[in-house]
Amino acid sequence: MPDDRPTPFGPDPDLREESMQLGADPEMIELRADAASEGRDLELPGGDHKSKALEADAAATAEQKRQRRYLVKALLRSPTFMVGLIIVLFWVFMALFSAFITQSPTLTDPNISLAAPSASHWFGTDDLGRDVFARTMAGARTVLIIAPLATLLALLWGGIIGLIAGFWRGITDEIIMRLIDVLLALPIIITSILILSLLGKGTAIIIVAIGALFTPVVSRTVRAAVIGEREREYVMAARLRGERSAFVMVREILPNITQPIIVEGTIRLGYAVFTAATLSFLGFGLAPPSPDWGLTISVERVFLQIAPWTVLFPAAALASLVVAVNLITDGLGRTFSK
Amino acid sequence: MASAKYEREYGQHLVEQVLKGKMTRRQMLVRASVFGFSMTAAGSLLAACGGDSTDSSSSPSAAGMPAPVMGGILKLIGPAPITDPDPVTIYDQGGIVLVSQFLEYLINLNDDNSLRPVLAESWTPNDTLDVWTFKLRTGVTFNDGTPFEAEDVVATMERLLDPEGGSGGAKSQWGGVLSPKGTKAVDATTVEFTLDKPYADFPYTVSNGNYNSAILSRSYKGDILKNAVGTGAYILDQYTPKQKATFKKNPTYWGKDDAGKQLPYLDGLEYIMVEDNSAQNLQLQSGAVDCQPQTVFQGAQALFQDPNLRVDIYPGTGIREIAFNQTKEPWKSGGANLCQAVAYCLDRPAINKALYDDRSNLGYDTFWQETVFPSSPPAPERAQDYDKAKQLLADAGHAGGLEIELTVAKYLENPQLAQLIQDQCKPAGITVKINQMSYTEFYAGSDADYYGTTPWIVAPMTIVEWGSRPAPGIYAAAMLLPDAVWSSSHWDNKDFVSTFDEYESTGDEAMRAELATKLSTLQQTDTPIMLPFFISQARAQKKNVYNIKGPGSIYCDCSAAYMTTA
Repeated sequence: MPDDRPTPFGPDPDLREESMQLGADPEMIELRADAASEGRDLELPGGDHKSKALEADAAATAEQKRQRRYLVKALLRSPTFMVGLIIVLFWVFMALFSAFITQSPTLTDPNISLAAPSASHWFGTDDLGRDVFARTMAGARTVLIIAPLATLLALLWGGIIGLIAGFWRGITDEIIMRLIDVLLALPIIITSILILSLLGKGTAIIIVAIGALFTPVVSRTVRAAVIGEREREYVMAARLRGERSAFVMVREILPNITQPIIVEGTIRLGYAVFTAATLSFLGFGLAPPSPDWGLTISVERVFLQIAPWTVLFPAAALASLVVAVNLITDGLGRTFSK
Repeated sequence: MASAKYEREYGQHLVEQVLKGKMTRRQMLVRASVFGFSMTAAGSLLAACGGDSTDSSSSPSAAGMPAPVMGGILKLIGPAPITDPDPVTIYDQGGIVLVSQFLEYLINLNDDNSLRPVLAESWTPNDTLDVWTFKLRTGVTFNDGTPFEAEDVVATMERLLDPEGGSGGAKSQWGGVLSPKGTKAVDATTVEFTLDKPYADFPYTVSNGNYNSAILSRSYKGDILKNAVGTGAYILDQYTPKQKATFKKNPTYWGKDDAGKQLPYLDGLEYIMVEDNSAQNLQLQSGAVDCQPQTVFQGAQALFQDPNLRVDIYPGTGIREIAFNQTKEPWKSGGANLCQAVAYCLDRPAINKALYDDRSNLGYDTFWQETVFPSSPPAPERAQDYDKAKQLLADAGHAGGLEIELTVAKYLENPQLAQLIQDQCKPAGITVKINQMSYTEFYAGSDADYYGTTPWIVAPMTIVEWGSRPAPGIYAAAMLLPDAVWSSSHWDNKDFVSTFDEYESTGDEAMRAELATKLSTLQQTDTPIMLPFFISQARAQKKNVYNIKGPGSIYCDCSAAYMTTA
């Protein structure tokens, strides 16, 4: 006689079979099936299991909160993280509000072209007599739009690919990872230039190009983290509960691999800042008179010998942002590894 | 040689103009050279005017030069030719510098726009200025041993005038002037040009002012790198694309210096190809190369301050044409008032300072400017005047302001010029939107669709860069006439056209001056294009390098160059 009792996964004996194959306790399966058939919650042997489970959940939540508080405190005590954070926040502030603080970054005055730094022009003026301080502050805007959005895109795409490859393994993983290997072999800048040459220019295309190029490396990191998690008991339990793969990946595994993803994200953010500036330097970014740092360095570099301030300040600004992001990465990495 | 009667009559006319105060001595010498007067004859004219004979070919570095030294390899640095350096089609600095080492022209331009004979010994027009006869230099051979004769000149002209030949120089300088079969070899040393219409400035168009008109052997088949046959002072020895070209001295070169010494002095040349100007500057400063034929002002300030270098500045005639397309709005309905309104917003001295370190000549939206072309009348200046600009805007029906789009290639200093225009137009209520594109996009399109899609011709307002032209009429014929080959403004002013025809068909200098003034006024009144400056040219070189000749710097004639050991 076929066993047609309903299971917690629905009236499907195959799933019960599959659960057994996955190594689940047969007694537990039977208990779940009975409970499901009678329309009541499963009562585990040994007393008030529901309340115990709730207590355990509450304890876990409290532990998570405690850990989070600990992490925040640890990060706040980390000098590298804090220095990086302050610098990044400074540039974010300038990107948002420099227009209200400095003069116009595009206002020309050829009569004071290439003037050295002074009280009236802290960072001097460029070849068209524009205020280098105003341009340096305003230059943060483009890079702080492009780099974070490109990084988020890479995390989204890389996260999806990494989760699929790491969770399903097998032939899917093989195919995806070999493709990733091919993509990782491509030099970032050259490939970005090829993409931009093919698709045209524009901020949106730069974001997509950088995001796409950082996707393989993010997906590798995510896959490695998923592989480390997929054999853990909570994943097994979720599968035993009959949760769908997508649910298990997104709701069970993903929250548990946030730390490596955050670290990877900050690493990519640093690279994205650098890549966006490089593309601008090479003429694939915004067009003059944008105060974009990479573009400014490219245009003004001819004056390096006689008016170094036209190049050094935007270059220092770019370097400070990259270093700051790397400091944050370092701080996060050290704190998470404790 | 010009006929004695002709020389006497025209010479007398020139002297009269000077004595009446209608022409300066400088202007007289330039015009005399255009009409084929020898140095001696020009000297006699000066003497008749009560002046001294001067050498109009002297370059900025001529004064106080040490005695020539034989030997040495001069290392030049500049960009690689954009295409294969085919003399028929070249248009860029790299190509022109390369071919001008082993090829020569009938005539060369001096820095003051006067002409000096090279492969032509003399030239003279007929009374109606539509037939020009050139006597060629004798005893000249190509570097493959064949003699240079009139048939080589005819073959060169026919090749350039071939509609399939793709010569931009021929198209822009001979359009409507010289047609195929218009060049005839009278004998081995005489060439006759029969023009489609009288043209008083014709000799300029067969000088190196028309860079494509270099004289090639009649056997030339388009393979210049394999078969670099020319009459020049040097022979192309090796050519590595995008890297280097080397030249050795031509032992059979016809040229001799004033003391009768065989030219060239140098054993050879090297042309190092480096695209980036900053990298070129650094190589020059490090001593790795001897000369940068064309120094770009932007970023070259360090060269001016370098104690080991000398930077010669030459009055140039290159321009950035800011064209108002008269077939597009708002210029179509706004007319001259609108164009002038923008013109009065420009602070020309400030633009000159920002882009050229104050070293270029200011332009006032006309080609006929004495400060640029010595035989032209003075042009009324145009200073920034926002009140006038606002009034003109109101008269054109745009009292509330105007929004315009300026299309520009990301090339040379054009983007910076666009930004300055944008900023300077703001106070008058004119909002300039800059549409920047790559050089390739800006000039996209073949000859066939020049008037169809290519942005530099069809966009409503553009900045187009033009290399030097030797005479104002040559610019006007190429861009301001309704049938001009490269008209970005599409200006069609019938009065201008008829006046221009009259101007180019007379040798009467008094009348030419009058007509030039009228042309200048018409151009300024309608302002189809803005010309805020005429770009001076700079050549940076080590202090021991002497006697590289122009005109300007792009041609880089090294036939009499030398280096001292210092």
